[in-house]
Amino acid sequence: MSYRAGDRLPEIVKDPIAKVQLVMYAGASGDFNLIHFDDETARSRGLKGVIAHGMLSMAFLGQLTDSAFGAGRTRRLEVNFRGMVNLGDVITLRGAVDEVREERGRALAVCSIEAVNQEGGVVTSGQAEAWMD
Amino acid sequence: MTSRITPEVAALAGKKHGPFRVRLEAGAIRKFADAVGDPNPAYRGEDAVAPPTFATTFRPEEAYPDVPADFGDVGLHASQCYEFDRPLRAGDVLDVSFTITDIYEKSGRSGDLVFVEREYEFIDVNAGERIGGGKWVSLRRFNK
Repeated sequence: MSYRAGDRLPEIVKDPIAKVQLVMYAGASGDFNLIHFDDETARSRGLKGVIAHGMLSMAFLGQLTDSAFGAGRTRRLEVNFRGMVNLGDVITLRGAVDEVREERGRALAVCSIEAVNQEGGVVTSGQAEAWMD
Repeated sequence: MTSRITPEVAALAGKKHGPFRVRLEAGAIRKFADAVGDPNPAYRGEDAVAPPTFATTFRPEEAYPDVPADFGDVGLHASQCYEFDRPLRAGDVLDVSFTITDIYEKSGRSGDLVFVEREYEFIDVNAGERIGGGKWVSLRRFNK
């Protein structure tokens, strides 16, 4: 896919966060921190209940860029985790191309990316670079 | 404010860990994509491409020196970066190492925070060259 500076990436709306997804992600990623699927532990640690892995929302942003540019074309992802993701949250993934530059003779898109919850709160945001050719 | 960073934790900074070897398996890549809820067919099959954050699955089999689990009230993730010169694929064999580059503290609204920064390096074993890196900043919160 080819984009120009100012273009938006096709938006993706994820299914509501379900506990089974957090258990699947724990198994697939190897992050078995109980705060992600055991309410008792989460509350004992000062949280309101289980929270999604930050890395799951980063993986969602990887889905955004690999879907927009093609699988394997995301060269770099850098994010800050800014808000917690709770069960039932509906996360929307957005991105925009800030710049297209040439690197090693190839066109590289530099994008701003963010994951936003149903209340419009930014939970994860950062920058991505993806090859366009 | 008294420092939350004990001498034991401060001593972790600057240490390199690894390398440990990982082999990318098609089944593990598919399960990761399934968990993310990403239906992209490129992540499925014998020659699957790995999703951009698949490197989060690279974990050493043996425990490494790290901030003790009971340090603070809750462990959270502050920021993360991955960068690769080429996409990872099923069949790749990588040597992974990381260095704890910095440990520092801040006072936040919800309590004192201790940040731990780690930098990763990924070596393609067959090519014998570095193919990527990453940065992981975690934090431990001491609730107010």
